[in-house]
Amino acid sequence: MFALQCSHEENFEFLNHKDDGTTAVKIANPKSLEFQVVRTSLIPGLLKTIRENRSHPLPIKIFETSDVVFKDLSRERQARNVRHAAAVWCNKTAGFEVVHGMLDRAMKMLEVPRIGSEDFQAGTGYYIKESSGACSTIPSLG
Amino acid sequence: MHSKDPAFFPGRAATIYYRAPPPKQTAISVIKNDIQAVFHTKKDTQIGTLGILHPSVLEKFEISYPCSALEFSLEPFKKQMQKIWTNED
Repeated sequence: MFALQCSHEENFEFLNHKDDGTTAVKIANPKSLEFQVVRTSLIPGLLKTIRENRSHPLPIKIFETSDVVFKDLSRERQARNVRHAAAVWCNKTAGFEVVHGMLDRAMKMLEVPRIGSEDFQAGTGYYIKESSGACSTIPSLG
Repeated sequence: MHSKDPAFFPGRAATIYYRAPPPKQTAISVIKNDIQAVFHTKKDTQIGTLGILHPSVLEKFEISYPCSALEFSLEPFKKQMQKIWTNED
């Protein structure tokens, strides 16, 4: 259970997320700042591991598969465990293609085919879509 | 429709969608599938995100190299388990 908890700051502010009060389960009487909320993402834990292993030679490739907890007011216990998988790649280049390749590999092992995001006919599968929507060209990095 | 995740570098992030297989192939379900395909009303669930982490995130975690992250839910892929091990009510 200890590994499941993290500070409120790490879970939200550090990831530029806002706490809308409906996502994370908060601990009423935390023992320390490290145990304020039950985590809703595995990324902060992985980034903390990278931080503690900064002296390790690059690249650092780590993953974690574990439960995270979300608030769920429709249930009696008002919380819901969700099994998540996460991976972080840290190197001198960002390596988007590396994590994308890892997703493809994981899905291949789960026997989920890749489909096009505009393929409305396909029965089952997964696809990825750019999060920011409209712009399809690579924005200038200034 | 697209929620922009501020944890990632703008334009270097993607959302992962999953379309669950239809429960049973019958004549009606095939027709229903075709109709949904034509009208683009298929229900795809958002299961996760991947992308290059935003420099401000890396700064807060005191990491001096660029990082890419991937996170998705394994819930749709779980095999049937005994009830005492699951969250089912």
